[in-house]
Amino acid sequence: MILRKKNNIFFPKWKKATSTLMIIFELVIVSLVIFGTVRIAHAYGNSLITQKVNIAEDVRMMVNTLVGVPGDAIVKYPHDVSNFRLILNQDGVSVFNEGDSQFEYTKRTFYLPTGYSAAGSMDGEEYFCLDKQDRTIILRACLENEP
Amino acid sequence: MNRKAQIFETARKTIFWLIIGVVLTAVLMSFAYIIADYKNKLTFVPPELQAELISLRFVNNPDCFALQDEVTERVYSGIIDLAKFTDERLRTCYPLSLQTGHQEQNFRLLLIETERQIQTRDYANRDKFSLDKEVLVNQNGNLHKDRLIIYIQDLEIG
Repeated sequence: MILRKKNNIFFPKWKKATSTLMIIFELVIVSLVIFGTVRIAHAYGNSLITQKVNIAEDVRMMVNTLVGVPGDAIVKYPHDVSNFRLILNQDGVSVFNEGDSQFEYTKRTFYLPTGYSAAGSMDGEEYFCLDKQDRTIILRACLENEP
Repeated sequence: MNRKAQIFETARKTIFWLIIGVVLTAVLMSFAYIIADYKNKLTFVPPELQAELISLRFVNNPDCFALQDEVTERVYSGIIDLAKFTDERLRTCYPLSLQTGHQEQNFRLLLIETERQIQTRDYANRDKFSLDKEVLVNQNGNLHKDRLIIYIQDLEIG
């Protein structure tokens, strides 16, 4: 009796199909929204990104400080950076993870006085040191007896 | 009647999804903005600190303005050699890029007592903040006390 009533002019068969399609469509939309939100949250909230930026900023400040020191100096970065790779060059510092594309590198620039140079890289070592010798700043792994 | 109901149903669904589309987009964009803002707060470095660290070179580095004994090569930190205090020297001491220099921190250095001022190439007289340092100035072999005011222009001024 009920089936017959639902298949009458007020409850046609295509209406049931449309409702099911709409439910599926709504579920897909909700799933997409949840997926998108989680992706955005993961991308921004990933602490590795924050750590990369903080390390790059720290290195830039360390280099600027070393330039402001007369004579030679050495300074040790006090945090474990074994999860990251660092490249120091004349124009700035790049921090990235293994497998990152160039687009994902975190870069910070600095301006050395004319005649100064900066170079060095780190690949998996725990601690790094910035060593200023005359007009050259070198980024390298710290030796055992260094600060 | 059935045709009217059908049209009404279609219109109702369309309006509903239009509104939901706008609301969901707004929610997602707000969410992304909040997280990006939080990340920026975690990694923020005060421009005053960056300027302070950069300006160390002005008074401590002999390749900038610090006095250096030509014979012994001893560097006198905090003593400015007035002969070095020129625009050209500042541009080799803090050589900003020609293309992007205007986006970086630019400096104007003023010696109050000596009444001498120099500035970086892209300095546009839009001071954001300043640093004050007590220094000695070496002028033709004579030392006198002075105040070095370092004015900083930052891109964020807009």
